[in-house]
This record gives sequence, structure tokens and C-alpha cells, in this order.
Amino acid sequence: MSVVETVKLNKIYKGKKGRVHALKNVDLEIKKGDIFGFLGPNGAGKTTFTKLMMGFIRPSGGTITVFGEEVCDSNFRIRERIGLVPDQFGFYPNMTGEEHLDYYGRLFGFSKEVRQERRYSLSELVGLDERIGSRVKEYSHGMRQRLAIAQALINEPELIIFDEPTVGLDPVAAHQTRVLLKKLAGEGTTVFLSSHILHEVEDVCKTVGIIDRGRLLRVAGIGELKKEIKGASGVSVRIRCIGLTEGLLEGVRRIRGVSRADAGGDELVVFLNSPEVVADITSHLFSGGARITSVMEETPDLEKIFLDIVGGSR
Amino acid sequence: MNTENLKGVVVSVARSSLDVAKQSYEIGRKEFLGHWKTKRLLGLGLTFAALFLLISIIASYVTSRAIAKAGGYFSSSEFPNAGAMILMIVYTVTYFVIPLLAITLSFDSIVGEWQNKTIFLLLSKPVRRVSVVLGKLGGAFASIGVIFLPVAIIGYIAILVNLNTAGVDVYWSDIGRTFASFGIILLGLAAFASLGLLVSTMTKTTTSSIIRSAISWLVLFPMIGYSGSLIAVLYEKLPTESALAKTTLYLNPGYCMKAATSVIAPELYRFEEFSAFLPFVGVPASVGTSVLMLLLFTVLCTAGAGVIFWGRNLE
Repeated sequence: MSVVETVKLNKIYKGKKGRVHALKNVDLEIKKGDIFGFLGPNGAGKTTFTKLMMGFIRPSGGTITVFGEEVCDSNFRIRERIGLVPDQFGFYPNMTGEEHLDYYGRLFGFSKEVRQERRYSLSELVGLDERIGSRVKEYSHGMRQRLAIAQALINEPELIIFDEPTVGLDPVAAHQTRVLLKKLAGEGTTVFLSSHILHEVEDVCKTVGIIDRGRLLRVAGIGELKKEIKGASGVSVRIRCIGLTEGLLEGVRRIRGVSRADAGGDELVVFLNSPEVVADITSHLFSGGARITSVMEETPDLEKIFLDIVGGSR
Repeated sequence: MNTENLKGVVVSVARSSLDVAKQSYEIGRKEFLGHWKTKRLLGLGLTFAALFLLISIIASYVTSRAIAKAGGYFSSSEFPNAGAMILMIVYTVTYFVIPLLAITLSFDSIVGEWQNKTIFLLLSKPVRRVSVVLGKLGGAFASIGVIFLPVAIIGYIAILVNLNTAGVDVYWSDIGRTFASFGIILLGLAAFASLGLLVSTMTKTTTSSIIRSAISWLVLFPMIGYSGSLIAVLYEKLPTESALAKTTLYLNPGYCMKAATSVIAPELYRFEEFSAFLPFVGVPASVGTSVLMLLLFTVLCTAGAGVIFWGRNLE
């Protein structure tokens, strides 16, 4: 069952400086229980897509459905099932974190008991329990981010949307946020994570959509994408050995099936056309007097995938 | 449309209305509590309360003693009700401070949400935009209302006590009129709060909103109000000059608020004929027309705010 589905989704902003085509014919489907990473550089159209999902803005063309219902500003049933952590948000400075959670709970029409229970459990979940009674104006950026996550979970949403959740956070807070994200994803909630931070998406998501300049370039599982990249650029191995000489390196380069070999200190990175050649390389090094300490297959990371896909589209 | 469909529509409308009412209440409640946490309301509210009570007490004390000394002059004059006359003096402050308070609390109600980016979290909840507008209006109205009403009642009691102790006739039967005059001031409060709300939805910064609201209150609407008088003066031979001058006065909610004075002192209607041409000096306003215009003004401003807010994209 798809939670989010778009068909030929377009968004054009009309401003004083002319028209900006923020989204171009985006076709996308996010399945229930998926942890979907929406990856793209700044200005790619990620936030526009998020706002369209929430019904904050209207599409210029095409359709967007969430939970099978077309999104529009007046469709409140959808928002009852969504939690949002927007990229830009603010809190009422004179209200405490607790009062914020209570207020948002009230807007959902929850009873006093439910609000109280959620306030307690959520403040504990996001690690704000000690400061939940303080006014928000006394909160640090990281604490505000945690409160934003807590308020997004107040209705126990079936779909939770994170738009750049770790931007501006220090490494510790960013790590804690990612841990929390994984925890939520592990509980079966459908997660939509919009980010330009590659390792964050790689760390958390199962499926990735890569967007650039309003065009959705690729949607696939992270494993699938890595395999593809491997297929296109071949396999590479990193060999650590003692006693590597220029002669031995030349010998490796001459082995059939080796496309490239680079050495740096005791490390040798060899690009292969087929993985079977690894045995030939190690026996060549061994017979030449080198002592091999480790052989590791190199895995392409999301950064390489992303740069390949985005770079290829430009 | 068959009966089943009609029933479905009625149920759906009733449910939506209930949702709007509940959410408006919650937003209004938050606004109300929020206003009490800010120095803005506390400062202005306390100033208003102090002025109202001080003038009520001093004016009633001085007047009652003076009347008593003169042998009960007011009991047989054109203004038989001394209490009403003292309230008229007190209202000169109220006519200025209440719109000021209303605008001060409502000018940033919507634009502030935008500027502080709280709007994104608010509208990510299943909240209707009309609830936001109604809640904001209700919150501002209630915040000032709970200051005005007790202060006005205490002030009035002080007036009655002072008159009574000085031996001046107290017209107990006029308590109803007094409360009606409080009602008109509350209507004026709603009108100015809705004006602030409307401007707040139309502007992009709080600074621009406060400037525009203040200009509307102090310049624009008084100008519209006096436009009829100006036309009447310029075109003296117009047969409807007087009617025109009087009619346009009601387009200014500040003028309509002055019907509170007309309620407590209907004797002022004696000056109705020349009042339209002397709008700056204690003009008596027709109560019925004023009430109607204040209601209309509130409804139109609130509806306008609702329509503009509904049409705004969260870009």
C-alpha cells in the first residue's frame, strides 16, 4: 500500500524575478513502512515537495495523494495521520516545552489524560524530560530540534516527515537525532527524510530518491544503487602489504583483468574488471616478497552514487 | 437532493462547525494565556485600569461634593443623572485606550506566526485556517475584556458610592443603561481587534502591521468618517448634506463606540441637529446604527482576514 503517491507533480513559483519551476513532473511512490530518503542539493525542490505533501502549497500541475486522499489545505483527515518536522520552524518563546506539547495535543482534540501521558513519554523519548518545564526561549538549537520532533509525534503519526532535521546541530545532537530517527523507523512508522546530508540518509534510509533542479532523477533501494554503481565502475580492492615495491606494482598493473592500480605507502588500491583476479594479485605480491596484512573490498558510498547521478544529469 | 443526502450534509456541517468552535477555543485560550505572559498587555492594561479607576473615583468625588454644595443642581437640570455624566468623562479615556489595547494585541496575531515561523507547526496539525482567525480574535477580545469589564464595574460602583455618600440622587434604574454602554465598548473592542487582525493577515512584517493598524485607527477611518461632513461643507446647497455628514460618521468604528455615551445619557440627542457638523465635540451617536455598524465592521474585517489567510500559501 502506498502512503504517498505523486503523478506528474509540478510546482511553479511566480515571483518578481520571474517563474521558478521548482518541481518538474515528479512521479513517486512511497510504500507503507518505508524509510525514504529524499536526497538533493540545496534548492533541488525537497522542501517544496514536503510542503506539497502537507498541503501548505498547491501544485501547479499533477496530483499528490497521501493515504490515498488528494492533498489540499482543507483535507484535515490527512494531517491527523502525519507528523512534520519542517526545515524552518519556530516556537512561542514564552511558552514552555510542556505547554507546547499540551497545546498541540489540544489541537488534535486529545483528552487531558492522553495529553499528559504523551507529554511525559515524548519528552523522555527526545531527551528533554529535565528541561520540558523551561520556557522555549531558554532552549538551545538542539533542544528546540528535539521539541520539534516531540511535537511531530504527539499524534502517533503513521507518516513522519523530517525536512533537514540535523541542519545547524552540533555533531553530538545530530547523532542523537539520527539515533532517534532510526528508533522511530524501527517502530514501523513510515519515515520521509529530506536531506542533503548524504551519510545521514545512508545511515537511516532503506530507499532513496535523488532530486536535482526539480527533477526526480532516481528512486531505488540503497543496496540496489550501490550494486549498480559497482556494476558500472567495476570492483575495487584495498590491499595492505609490507614490502611493496615499484616493480611489484608494475607487475600488478600487467595482470589481466586489472584496470588500474594505485599505491600510497603500504596501501594498494586495485580496480578490477572481475573479482576472480584478486587471487592472481595476492599470489603475485606474495611471490615477489611482500607480506599481505589485509585485503578489503571497497564499497561505493552514497556520496559517489549521488555525485554520479547528479553529475550525470548536468 | 434526497433526505439522506440532506441529512449527511447537515451532519457534516454540524461536525465541521463543532471542530471549528473547539479549535478556535483552543487557539483563543493559548492566545489569552500568551497575552498575559507578555508585558505588553500587563503594561497597557494596568495603565488603563489605573486611569479608569482614578478618574472614576476623583471625578465622582469632586462632582458629588460640588453637586451637594449647590443644592442638588443636577437633579433638575438637562442632565439629571450625575453618575452618567461622570461615566461620560471616564469614557473619554476608554475611547482611546480600548482601541489602542485591541490593536496592540491583534496587530501581530497572524503576521507574528509567520515571522516567528510558528505557522508551520500550527498548520501541520489538523487545524482549519478559519479557526486560527477566530481563535486569534477571541483571544485578543477576551484578554482585554477581562480587564475592561471588572475595572468598569468597580469604577461604576465607586461612582455610585461617592454620589450616595454625598447625598446626590443615584439613579439605580440606570444600571441597565450603564451595562449596555459597557456592551457597546466591548463591541468597539471587537471591531478594533478585528481591524488589527485583518491588517495582520495583509502584511508581511509586524512593524508594517502596527503602522498600518495605527494609521487606520487614527487617520484613515476618522477621515472616512468626516468625509461626509467635508462634502457637506464643500457643497452647501446639497439637500441631503446633513444626512450625508451623519451617515459617513458611522463608517468610523471609533465614532460608533461613542454610542456608549448616548446610551447612558440619551439627553444628548437634543443636540443632534448640529452634531453632524461638529463631529469633534461630544457627538451623540445613534445607538442602533452604531451597534449595527460595529457588528458589521467586526464581521467584515474578520471575514476579510479569513479569506486572505485562507488564500495565502505557506511558501
